[in-house]
Amino acid sequence: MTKIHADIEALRGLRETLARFRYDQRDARYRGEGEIEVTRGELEARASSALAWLERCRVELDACREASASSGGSGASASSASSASSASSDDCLGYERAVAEAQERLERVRRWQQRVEQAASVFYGAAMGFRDLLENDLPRTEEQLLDMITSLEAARRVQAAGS
Amino acid sequence: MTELRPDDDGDYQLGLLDAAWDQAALHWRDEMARDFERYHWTPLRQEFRSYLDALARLREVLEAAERETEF
Repeated sequence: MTKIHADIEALRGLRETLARFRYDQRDARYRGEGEIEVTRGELEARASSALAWLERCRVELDACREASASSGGSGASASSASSASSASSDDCLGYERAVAEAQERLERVRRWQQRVEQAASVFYGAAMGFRDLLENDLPRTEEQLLDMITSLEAARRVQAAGS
Repeated sequence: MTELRPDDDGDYQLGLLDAAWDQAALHWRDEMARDFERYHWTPLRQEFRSYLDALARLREVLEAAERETEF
């Protein structure tokens, strides 16, 4: 390559790099989508599982409270009713803790589901901007470079012919 | 869960773009070159950088979501 054509070769190299870049990045807008879908599915399954567990814990807690109330409740005086109530909280404490824990699990999954949707929304915005650049701006840029290369080549041919 | 794929190597891709631009800029220094850098090159780099950053942040959130909801 003679020195006089080094600029043309450099522009050609730049244009080829841009075209290759555009090709390599053609699936950019789809890149995060699969991962978002996988996580959405996973979180939904975990939310369902947490909800089912919560419902089961509530059923067990209700049953425990009923059992406690009926065992201490029949014909009870005010003082024995108070003692039945106290027995209920002691006997069913484990179930109450299980309900609270199941609720916390479900709420945590729901909070993460919201955060994932927020992050996905931000990502889609950036991906859309980049996609527009790839599909609209970059081809125009490549065309502009090609025009410049063609003009330079034409000018050099004129110079070479005239020299 | 998520592994980086070779085509996700954004810094490598940015490096390729920069090398091509540096090479062109060695020989192309007129007003058109400055316009090209300002109106085409810089926006391309910025848009790509924003996209890569958003992708990285997304993946952090997705990974954290899976990790933090594992019971």
